[in-house]
Amino acid sequence: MKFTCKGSVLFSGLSIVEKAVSIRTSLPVLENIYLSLSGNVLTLRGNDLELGIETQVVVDGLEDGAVLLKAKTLSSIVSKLQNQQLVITMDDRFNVTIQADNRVDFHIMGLSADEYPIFPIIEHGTALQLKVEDMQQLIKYTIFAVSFDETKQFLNGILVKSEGDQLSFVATDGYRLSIKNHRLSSLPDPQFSVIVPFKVMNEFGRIIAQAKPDTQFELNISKHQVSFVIGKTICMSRVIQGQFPDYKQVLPQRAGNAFSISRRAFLEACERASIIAFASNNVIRLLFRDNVLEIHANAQGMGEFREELQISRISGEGDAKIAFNVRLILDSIKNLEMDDLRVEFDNELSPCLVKPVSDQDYKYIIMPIRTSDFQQAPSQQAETVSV
Amino acid sequence: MSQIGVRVLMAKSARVERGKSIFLLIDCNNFFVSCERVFQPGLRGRPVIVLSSNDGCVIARSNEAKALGIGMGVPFFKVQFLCYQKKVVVKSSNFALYGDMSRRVMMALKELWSDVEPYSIDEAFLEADDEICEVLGHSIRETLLEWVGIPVSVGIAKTKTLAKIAAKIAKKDPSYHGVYTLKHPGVDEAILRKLPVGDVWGIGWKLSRKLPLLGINTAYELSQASPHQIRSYFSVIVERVVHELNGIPCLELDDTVQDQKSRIYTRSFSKRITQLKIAEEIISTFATRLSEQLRGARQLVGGVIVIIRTGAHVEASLFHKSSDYESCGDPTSDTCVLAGAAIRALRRCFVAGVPYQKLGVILTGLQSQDGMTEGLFDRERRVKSSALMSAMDGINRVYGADMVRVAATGWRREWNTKSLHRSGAYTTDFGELLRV
Repeated sequence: MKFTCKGSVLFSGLSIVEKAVSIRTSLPVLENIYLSLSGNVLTLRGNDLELGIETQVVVDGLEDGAVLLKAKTLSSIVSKLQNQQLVITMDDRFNVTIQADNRVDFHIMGLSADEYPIFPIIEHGTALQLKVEDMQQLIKYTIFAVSFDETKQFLNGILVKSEGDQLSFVATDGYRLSIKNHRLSSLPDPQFSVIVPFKVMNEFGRIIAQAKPDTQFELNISKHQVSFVIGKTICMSRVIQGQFPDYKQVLPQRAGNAFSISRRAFLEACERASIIAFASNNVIRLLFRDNVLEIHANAQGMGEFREELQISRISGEGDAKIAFNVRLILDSIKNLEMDDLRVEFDNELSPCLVKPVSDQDYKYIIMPIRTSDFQQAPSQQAETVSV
Repeated sequence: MSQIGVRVLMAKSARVERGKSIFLLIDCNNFFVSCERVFQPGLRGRPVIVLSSNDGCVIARSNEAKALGIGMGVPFFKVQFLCYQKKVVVKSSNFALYGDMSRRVMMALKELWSDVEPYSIDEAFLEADDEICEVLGHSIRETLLEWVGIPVSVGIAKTKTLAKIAAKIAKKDPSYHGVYTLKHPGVDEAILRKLPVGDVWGIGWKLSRKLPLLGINTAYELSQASPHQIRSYFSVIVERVVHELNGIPCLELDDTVQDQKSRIYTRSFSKRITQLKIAEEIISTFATRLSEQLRGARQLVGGVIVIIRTGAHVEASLFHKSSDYESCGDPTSDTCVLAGAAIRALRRCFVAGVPYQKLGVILTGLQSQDGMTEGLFDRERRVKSSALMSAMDGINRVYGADMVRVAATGWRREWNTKSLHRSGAYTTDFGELLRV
């Protein structure tokens, strides 16, 4: 294998695929990047057996071939030679020489490409065409709610599901649930429902961040695998096996109280409240009056916070109160762009629905906090059990 | 209310001015023995010792027992004959009684003074104005003796570390009548010169072996060390000790009520545990006790750690110690869930036939039920669990402990720890009220 290229060209490809390279693995071969030259196309692959990324860059090919090189070493070298013209040559014992401007020589040892795992291809799945900007929203509005609890692997990813022509991304950590829907231009066949790992969604989100918003990409989904194809880059992953909770059962069916509130004002007030709430389990107490929302936070040995916001009551009557973990509120509302939010809940123990007034495709359900001053805990409710 | 009580309550209204404040350490004398003596006044003036669980070692001694040379932590069998000869009264530990008496002492202190930090089962720090501290110390001492029946020593100094030293002096020298103030420069220096560095609060046994390598053998030598140098060799915590020994307060009074971060229940058994079934009964009983404590404190836990070990003197081929963690899923205080998790952890670390001596359950990372976000998907299960636990606790409260219990805790319980000399739980169990 022999080719020449600008250092920055090779580095752009490496920086994409190295995200899928294992740092600590029981299979040393996975610490390598696969390079394969065919004509003027250099294919690069990283694979940690959960996530695989392949991309292609155009080089001046002189002799075809393939090799495995330590990802960390190769990336470090090329990152320091981005402005130089590189000549990369492999001998028949997989030793690779990287020359830059006839002044710099690196000799690094490689491995036979035959040892690298095969990059799987989805054959019988559902193929969808989506725009980058739609995918970015689907990821952004849901990824923060993914759980990192290793004992609940089925919550360690985003549920990607189709229902008719509607594509839904759903994520939950058991305390809040984020749902973003998107209407597809055609009916997917067959329908699908898979849990895509957090890492895959996160990496794909980074890859498409470089693309133009209206760029089209392909999403392929099968029972066990999912792949994203954008330009010359393929991102392939296993899906998480397991049963995602029946999230529809927790969607509030009725709400005794509904209010409209300015997102920006609410966000800023919550950020201020979090300064005090940080020292007391992040608890903030919301007291809704007819047109005023009082936000309270207090921390023993630190101090108190109180702020009033103007709101509009949409339904319900009388005062309503509910307590939340302020982090769970901030995670959602700081990602939104819309002006007004609709906040709905039945009582201080019931799930609370937060959704933008102007976007019916997004729902955020957040569970309240038990506080002895705001509500009866279930154990207290159960005191009625006579002895 | 006694005149003493009135006098102290008057003092309570005086606000402590920061900078002019001084620390008082209220330290109960021979606390476990004193608790026994409250309900058996006949023990006063007699040598008394209290043994650890399973009647293994001496964990508390009256002054009379100390005078007989009975050491702290000595295995009981080593002093059993001496106790018989000298008519020493031997008591098994009664933690229900000691816990409740401690609660009474702390409640009385809070009634008497506003700035109180309970520090341990038998110690509390107070912060008061310099001018009234000695009067306050004597008043508290007399009032606690009258209200609760527990004798205390009071150490007074500018810092918590010095107050601990002062309390030690007050306890040892009867001429101070239980109150000693450490704020006389010349005298203080002489005291610190005599005090081994290992006896300073905050200097553990590891540090007490390292400090002599720097030529620091006494509290005085530590007080004269360069704080900067001490920090570079050890840590900011030891640097604070140096400042505190020089009368510069680094530790404030922490009178906020802190939730317990962990709970532990371990016991040693005189009869070795070799069968898994018996070990499961023990571990699930411990998990039951801890889950009751959790519910009482409105706390939840996400998992349990089980520890098991043989005795130190067992044959080398049989020596075994192990521990394992098992998650409970969502945070809970449900006895069934915790006992189940503990049993699963035990099964992974237990080796059949090995003679285990000590078993225990540890709960860490406790969370307050207040301030916990409700789960989205387990509401029905949670409500059912709460109802069941409330019913269990209610029945056990009315009809006696373990009237209703999980079956895994067993019925015959032949493994129960030895407790031959335990006095009644006079203050916590109607069935064991003192009869006169």
